[in-house]
Amino acid sequence: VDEESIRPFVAMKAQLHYYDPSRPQGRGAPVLDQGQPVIGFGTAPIDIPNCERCHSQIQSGEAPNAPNVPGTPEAALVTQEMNFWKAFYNLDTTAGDSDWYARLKGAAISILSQHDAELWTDFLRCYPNSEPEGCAPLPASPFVQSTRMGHESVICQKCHADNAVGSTKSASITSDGAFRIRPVTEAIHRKHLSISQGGSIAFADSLGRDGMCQGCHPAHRSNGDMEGYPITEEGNNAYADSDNRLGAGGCFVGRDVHSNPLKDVDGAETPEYLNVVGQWLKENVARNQSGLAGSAADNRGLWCTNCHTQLSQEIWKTEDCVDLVRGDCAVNPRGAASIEELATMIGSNVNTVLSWLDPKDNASIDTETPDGIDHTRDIWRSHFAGGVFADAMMAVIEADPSGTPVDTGLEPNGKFNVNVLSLCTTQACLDSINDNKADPSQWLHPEDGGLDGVTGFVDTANTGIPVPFRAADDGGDHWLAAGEPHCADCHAAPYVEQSGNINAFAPFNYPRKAGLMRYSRGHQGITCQGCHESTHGLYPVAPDRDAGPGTPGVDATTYAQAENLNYDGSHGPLKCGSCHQYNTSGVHQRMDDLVYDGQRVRDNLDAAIGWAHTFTEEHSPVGDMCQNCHGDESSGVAVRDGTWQEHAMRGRASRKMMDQVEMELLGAIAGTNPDGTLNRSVTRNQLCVSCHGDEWTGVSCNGTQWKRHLSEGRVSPVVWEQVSVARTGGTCGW
Amino acid sequence: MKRALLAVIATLSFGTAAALATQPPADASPDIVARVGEEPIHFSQLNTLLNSAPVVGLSIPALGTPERNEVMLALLDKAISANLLYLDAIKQGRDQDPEYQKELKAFADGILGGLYRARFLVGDIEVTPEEIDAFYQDQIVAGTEMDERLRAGIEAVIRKDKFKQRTADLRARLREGTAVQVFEDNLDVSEDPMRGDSDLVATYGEGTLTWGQVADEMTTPQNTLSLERRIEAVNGRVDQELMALKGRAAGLGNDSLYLARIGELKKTSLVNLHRGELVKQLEPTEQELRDYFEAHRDQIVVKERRKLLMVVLKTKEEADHIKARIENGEITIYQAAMDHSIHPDAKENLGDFGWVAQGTGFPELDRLTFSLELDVLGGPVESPAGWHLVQVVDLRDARFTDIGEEYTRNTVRRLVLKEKLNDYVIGLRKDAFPVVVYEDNLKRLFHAEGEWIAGKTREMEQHPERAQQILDAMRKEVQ
Repeated sequence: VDEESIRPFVAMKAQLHYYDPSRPQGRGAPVLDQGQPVIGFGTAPIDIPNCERCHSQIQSGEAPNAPNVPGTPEAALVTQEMNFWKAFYNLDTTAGDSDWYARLKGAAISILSQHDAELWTDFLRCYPNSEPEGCAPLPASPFVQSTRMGHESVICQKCHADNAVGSTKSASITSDGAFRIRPVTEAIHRKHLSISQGGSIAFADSLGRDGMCQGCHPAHRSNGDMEGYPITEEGNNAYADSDNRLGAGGCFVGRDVHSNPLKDVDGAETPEYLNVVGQWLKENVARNQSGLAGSAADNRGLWCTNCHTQLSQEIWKTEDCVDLVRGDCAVNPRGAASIEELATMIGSNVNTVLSWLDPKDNASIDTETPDGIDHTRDIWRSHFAGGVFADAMMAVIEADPSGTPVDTGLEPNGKFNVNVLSLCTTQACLDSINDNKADPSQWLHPEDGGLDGVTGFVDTANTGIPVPFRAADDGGDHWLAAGEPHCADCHAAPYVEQSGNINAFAPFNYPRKAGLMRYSRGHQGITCQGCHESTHGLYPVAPDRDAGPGTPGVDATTYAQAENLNYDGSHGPLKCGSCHQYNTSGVHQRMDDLVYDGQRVRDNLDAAIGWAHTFTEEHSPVGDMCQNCHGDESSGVAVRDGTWQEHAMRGRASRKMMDQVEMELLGAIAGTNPDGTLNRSVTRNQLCVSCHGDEWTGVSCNGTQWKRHLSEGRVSPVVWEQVSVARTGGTCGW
Repeated sequence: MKRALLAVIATLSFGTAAALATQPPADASPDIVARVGEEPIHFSQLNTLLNSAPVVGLSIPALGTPERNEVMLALLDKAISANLLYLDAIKQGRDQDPEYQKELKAFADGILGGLYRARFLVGDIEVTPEEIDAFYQDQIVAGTEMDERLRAGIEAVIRKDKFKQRTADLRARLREGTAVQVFEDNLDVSEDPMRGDSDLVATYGEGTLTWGQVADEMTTPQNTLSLERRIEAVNGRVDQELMALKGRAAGLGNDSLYLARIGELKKTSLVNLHRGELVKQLEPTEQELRDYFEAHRDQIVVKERRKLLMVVLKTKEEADHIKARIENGEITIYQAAMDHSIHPDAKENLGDFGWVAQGTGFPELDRLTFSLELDVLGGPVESPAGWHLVQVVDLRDARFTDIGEEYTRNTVRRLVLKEKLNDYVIGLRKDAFPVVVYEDNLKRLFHAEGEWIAGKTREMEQHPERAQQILDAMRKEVQ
């Protein structure tokens, strides 16, 4: 096994078959659609991290990032393990063998021995399966199975939570987290970030940008090509004398649209809708190579540390927006007209903001960051000892006079359950809570409290206290909204997440704050990822940098997937034609008079895509989609109006949209009362007869007539269900 | 299974020229399966080797299966080879190599230092069930289920806490009675270019540490470590040296763990050193590489492969007719496969024939397949199976076709060297050192493993309600 054998981004295919109970696993004949098999495929990005690059090395001038210091037992044990596998597997690099396997094994021993040395575990007490005092004797029975450690393999997840393998139980073992074993990702990140860049791990490129992200994270390619691999076999940044962004491959670089030099040729191509932050990054990072070879058009895109910044959290802390798409905000730093204005709004200064935006290891470059400080790790350090910037607050909870959180006792399994009073943590909110303990109606934004059935204080002698973000994420691995980059950090409306995030779910997404792409929905409830791909796989994915568009690169599978899903074979985010019938502009062919941002959508794909982002499930079609076909005819919307009631059946609008319009204009869905219950009289005497005579007594599950009322959208599902139950005693099996 | 087992043993004995002995000496371990010179090879060693082998994505065959036995025999073969190289290295005096001796010394220091720290400076950290229970009562919310995970978590927390207490003053205790001086002036970053290798950076008792010994660790390609970090690094090195010294003085050189570790490294490191030297001696000439490539072209060249859709029909007339219908757009090749192909799997796989390598199919079909452009429907051609319509949907180029190409040359060089090394080891087995494989022991141990699994499987089948308990008990037994 060598490293070239590692092939992530494989295609996982699924083919549609008819169900046949007489066949094995019910797999009947394949389904054909217009003569073609129905096959969908997705990408399995699973890769192997590059721990061995550093952990299999003994620290030296050539390998300064190696953790195995000469003279230590850790270094000795790594030497032992690698020698073992080379000897017994007959591996010799001078003979042309790859020693990757031996290095992999050596790295495992390095990690375990570091763990033993620093945390006093005893994983290697019996290594190499020997018989020191206290270890089990060598097995006399053939049945005894152990590894070279003298026992079974070490399973990290026995102690560390790891949602990647479904070990989601909190690693905290006491309610206050004082005796916490950190989740595995947090433990690993924390360990490495605490000693890197300026510490004993040096991984900056020649521009000062920390390359450790792609040093550790998956960077193998789907074709096994290792050229330009971002970390050397000695564990150094392969781009130390160059630019991290040239290391196409892996999670982000060259795959994600933000680092894809060909994105405007074979990808998104739409306007970027950038705010001042995005504009600054575009002008000062993406298209500015700071003296390296390359023209102004040599777009190398953004680097990890341009988005994973403390600035993102500072903006999140400050903002107070109900709806970012329409700019319904009390405080909106994302809408600042300049970096200066933004800095003022978040209580910082321009130099710090710019230094956050493009953090650099000042020791390794000629030109320092504007404030002379390396802010690369601010976002990770905010809650560390010595962290300069306070962690974002995520909720106001009830605490007793000693400051101890109050247990509501409402957790079903008897565990500790804090009383979340509000998700608004501004000083104004906090004051309104503590000044009106007995009257939650006086609180600002009280609607998000009472998450577990408690409204208000358990005891008004207690106090509301804001708790930091880490209280929700079990330690500070920032994978929740406050800590991760948001589209809205750089993009302006309509390319902002909150368009689909009106109903937030704490602690993942918060009311009045930008959401995260991975938890957000856009056009008519479709997930952002549904069209753009996953967070770092953002289309366009990996066309070959040198060969240009049309040549699959590091991730041939996702590239093919985008092509497969797009009606025109392009590799960017999915366009209208992926779901709708389309006209020559690639726009939904039913588009007619709709105008977005001064542009007639029908003839302008960019405008159509911009509009689609605004047309969320929550958005009213009245002044929008309805105008596509006719002017304002809202006065004609009535229960008994047959033309209106046939809109869905005739394909003019979805039934869901009709329900929205009726609720907005009539106060209830036609045929129901405002509380959603069936109004029999209105339904029978007005709704049904708007299209045909009184057929109330003819409602039956026999035949298809009544069922088609549901499937064709002739009536709202809410009405259909209640009429069906009233008339037939059930829902016809639907 | 028995037949398969005997077959692989026969292969082993033929390939390695090892002598097959029925029984080991009466006083030998029942676990011994082979002996190379005086070096024993135990069944458990092979099991450990196998159990330690997997990496993510690679699994090992299950206990008691013929596949596992086969792998175990392959590992036995490797173990025999490694032991032969070891004995040969000693015979040739390779163990006197100064680099080898230096590596052993550094290794020994590291292990002894680690043991001294563990045994004397920190000491055993026991976490008793009572302590875990007490922690559970005091710290964990009432009603929380005590499962294996929580128990492990509590144990780790207690252990870490005790460890912190014992290591807080570790350096001071280590250096008690030993004068240590770090020469900070000799670590100044700006003075690096002027400093000589013999300049002292620290002294500890009678021992010294020079710039030449630590320079490698003190510098990085991009940014030199700060003086503060250098001082700490030197202090760390001094601590390691002191721990190794004190470990030796405390008699840890006779510790069983130390002996096990150094014993293994002495062998494996020497094997690797010896093999490296042999590779230098066995370097093939350019002509040897070319001759080898020509002689083994069939095994080296990876032939072009193509992925096919195929419709097989009874007659040429039918094939022509179906082809015309596909080309006219009346039906797709998938429909043709589903409704007309006589290939037994066609209805299920819609004519997906998978990947084929050039030169492996019916000659006429092969010629057609490897002359077609991508996505073009070809045929019909006749074969004993019928008349074929073929469409190529993907292809992978041939590789290793040209010895002049670097990658091919490197691959051939590696194969030649492996063959030469293999011949060398076979020579050792034949002429230099006695190799004995204890066939009865091997068979008995394989059999016992298989029987144990089979017995437990039967028990679970008979008592499905106890399957989990039986599995748990088995797990305990094998661990």
